Amino acid sequence: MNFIGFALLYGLAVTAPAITIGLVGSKSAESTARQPEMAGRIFTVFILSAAFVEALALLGFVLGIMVQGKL
Amino acid sequence: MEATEAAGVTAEAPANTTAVTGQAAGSEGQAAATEAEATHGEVKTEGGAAEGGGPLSHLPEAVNELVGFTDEAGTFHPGALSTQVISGGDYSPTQFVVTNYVFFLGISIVLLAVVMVMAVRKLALVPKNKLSNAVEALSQFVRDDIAVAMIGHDGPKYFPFLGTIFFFILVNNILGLIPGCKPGTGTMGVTVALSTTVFIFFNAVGFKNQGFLGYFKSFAPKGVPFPINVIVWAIEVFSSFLRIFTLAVRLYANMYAGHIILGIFAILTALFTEPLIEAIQTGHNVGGAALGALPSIGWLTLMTALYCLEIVVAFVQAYVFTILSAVYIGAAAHEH
Repeated sequence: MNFIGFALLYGLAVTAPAITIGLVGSKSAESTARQPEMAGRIFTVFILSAAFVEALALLGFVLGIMVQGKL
Repeated sequence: MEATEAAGVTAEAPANTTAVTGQAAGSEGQAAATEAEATHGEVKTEGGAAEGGGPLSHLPEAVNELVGFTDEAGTFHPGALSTQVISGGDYSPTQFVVTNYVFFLGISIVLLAVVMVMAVRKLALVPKNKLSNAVEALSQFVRDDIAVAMIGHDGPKYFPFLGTIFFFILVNNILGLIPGCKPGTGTMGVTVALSTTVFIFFNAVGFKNQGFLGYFKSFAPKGVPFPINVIVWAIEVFSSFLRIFTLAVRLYANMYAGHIILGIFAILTALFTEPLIEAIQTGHNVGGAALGALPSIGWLTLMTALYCLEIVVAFVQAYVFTILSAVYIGAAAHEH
């Protein structure tokens, strides 16, 4: 049961960030193709947004381990 | 000062976890914890021969040993990644102790000082020293791509602070990737101390540049009617306090989760190889055991790939922390 709970927590915590990071990646690829001379700035924005989104997914992972204290 | 604060905050962490998990432990959890405690330390000798559950049946116990667990009596057993006193033994939250994370924090500070002194020992317009070149490239990156890009023309004024933050976090993250070492930033106390420093710094910059009342008013948007004005001001002030938490948790969670994932893949590699080592020692059924150890290659490959990812994460997290600090400082430094 503990495993199922942890798996559910992580699975639910990661769905929205997964969709969002896909959006961020696709949009930054699109913008780079549209304006290749802005590639540097776009990459910075991409990394920043990806880090913001990734933190949410990691929060779910770490929260599960902290609250549960065991697997 | 930072180390003191860090030790104080990290000391609380295990106690809190114990309180939460001690109550949450159900009957099933108790059984698992007892089992894990019984086999604690002798997984190698008991494993494989005890039952035919396959190597994966020992994964929960091994992960418990990695991240720590709470037994049915409510006592917390620290794992390899838990914060604990370097000499072993218990400690109370008010005590000043050197924990394992703070120990590596100290090592990283010494390492950073040595590297920096070596880099600037022979200064030249065109440095021939490779170390000087590397440090100069990174410093220039922080100055031009973080400070000036985010704050504006007066960005170089804040470069010393941002550079210190960047190199401190970077050295800690990189040091934590060496097997056996721990990242100083992988514990909540250190990251909260860092983000509180940033919070105090950008507020001081705001009060200095915009004046006391000016900075206070700058949280409210201009041209908004009276009651909504106040509500937005309160929310903005609250979200500015929330920055302490978000900055700290982003860095801490990335480092901690990265090390848990690396640890789990290392455990998987070891668990699948164990039967093979036993078979070689006893000398029978070596071929079958070798076949059973084949998944280890896959786990090892995955672990290597994740290790490369963690190196990237170490850089990106230092970059993100610094660039967000620069964004906050920039917002506080200019009226808008």
